[in-house]
Amino acid sequence: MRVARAALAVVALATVAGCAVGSSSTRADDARALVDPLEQSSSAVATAQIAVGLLGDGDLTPAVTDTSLLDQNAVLEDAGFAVSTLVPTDATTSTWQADSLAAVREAQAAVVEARAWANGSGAGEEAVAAALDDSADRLEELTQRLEAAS
Amino acid sequence: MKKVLGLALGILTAIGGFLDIGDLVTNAVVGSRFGLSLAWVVLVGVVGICLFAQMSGKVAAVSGRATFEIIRERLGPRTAGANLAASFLINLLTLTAEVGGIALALQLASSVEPRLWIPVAGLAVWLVVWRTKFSIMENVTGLVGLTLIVFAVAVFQLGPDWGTLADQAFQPSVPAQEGHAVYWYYAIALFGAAMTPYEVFFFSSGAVEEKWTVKDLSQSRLNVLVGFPFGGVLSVAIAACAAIVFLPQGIEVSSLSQIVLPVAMAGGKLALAVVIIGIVAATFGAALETSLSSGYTLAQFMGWSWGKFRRPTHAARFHLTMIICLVVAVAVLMTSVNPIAVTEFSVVFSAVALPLTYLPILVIANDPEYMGTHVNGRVTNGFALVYLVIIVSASAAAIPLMIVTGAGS
Repeated sequence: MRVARAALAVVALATVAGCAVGSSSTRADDARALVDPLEQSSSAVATAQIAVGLLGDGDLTPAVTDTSLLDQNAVLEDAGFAVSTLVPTDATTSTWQADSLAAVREAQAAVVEARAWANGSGAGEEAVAAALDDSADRLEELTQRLEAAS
Repeated sequence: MKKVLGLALGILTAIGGFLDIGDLVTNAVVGSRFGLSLAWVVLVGVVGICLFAQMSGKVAAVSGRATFEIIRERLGPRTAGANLAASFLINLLTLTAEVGGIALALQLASSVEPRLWIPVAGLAVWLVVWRTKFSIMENVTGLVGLTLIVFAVAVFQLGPDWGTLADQAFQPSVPAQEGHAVYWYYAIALFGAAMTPYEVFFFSSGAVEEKWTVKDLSQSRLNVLVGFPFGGVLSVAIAACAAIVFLPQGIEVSSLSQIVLPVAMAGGKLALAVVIIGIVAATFGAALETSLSSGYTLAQFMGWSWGKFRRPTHAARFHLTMIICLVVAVAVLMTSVNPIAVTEFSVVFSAVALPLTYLPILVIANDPEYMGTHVNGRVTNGFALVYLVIIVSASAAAIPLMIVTGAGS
């Protein structure tokens, strides 16, 4: 009975220890961990591009555009959280993390700007679309770089 | 002529009433990630729901009693109680998802935050359940839900590469960026969405509400066998819209606002208005059905008087159960839980509970004491046994796959 209890305690301890925050084992692991939120961000920006394009063409209502951009803002918030909570292995992956976080924040700023335009304030359609395009390019470039490193 | 009209109405309502928030979300998510490579699951699910809905309708028409009344009598209170607990909880989860779906659809129409719509949606569902006749309730939501045909129209308007879609559908494979475990997780979710247990409880109790007899069996069979497959076509159309617009761009669907974008792209604001009306009708109709199913299952198990054909004062505990379930659903949603996440969990847990719903129906449908000469034939039983194997496999694999894949993420 004691042996069984001790074994159970060891298993529980090992499980808890496995959940502890610590460094990823390799740079490749860090790169892989950053690619997921970057892909999420690319998906959010691409959705925002569609919504902005449709509103500009008169095919979407401001209400649906607003809701769509708000939803994508939430996706970017989650992606930012995933990037910012990674514990980097070394200085190189720390730089990747900083670049990824900057790219996600830039995407969020572009979506926020788009939402302001959809609600009748902020920059014009061209500026909004350009900001989203730039953000999409940056996310794409960073994702490719990290995929190559993973 | 009246008979033909009744038949047409039944089929149209079955098509319009087939889709709910689970079908809408799961098909769009799957389409954006796997294209049409999981369309075969919709086919398997539709054949399954036709088989068992028809069986439960037959049980109700022949015996004059709904499924849960007989389950308790036939299987005993302990087994039936376990069945009730699982079915009731899954039903409550589905009701929560549907009320959340109404709020999200109303947000699309108004851009007003869903948490302001949730109590309104809950109140509206209760008012309709309390005040409206069963047939009116069923026909209106089913017919308005038919506007979701706009997804099928959008597929043609988007001008897809039909060869690519056909390849995805007829030579299904796991996309390079997705793992096998995730593919099978979504296969089970899609299967659970198509075969949601509440549809069977609602169908069998509805048969009693509408006083079906053996004479009505052929019409009910036609409603199911024609209406549900067309509903399945609409499910595939939702996945196709996502596959055409989102898959090539690497967009993953995570919100209801994304699901309507391909329709707006295809047909502009008019199509957008139609699809929003359709989503409100589909989620509202399903919220009515799940509310009623919660009352039906508990009242039938406990032996309380039930049914909308009775005045609320004569079925007080039946109505009280529905009110409590609606209050719980609204309260859960007001905690700011994401209704889409609730939906995704509800379809997977539906898959887990499938054997508890479908095995007892098969047992009763083969019992001459209840069915007399209308017991299942060999062909029906053959199909049903194949489905039992599929259902049990899906049920057993659902939770492990959910853990392994991080709920498909």
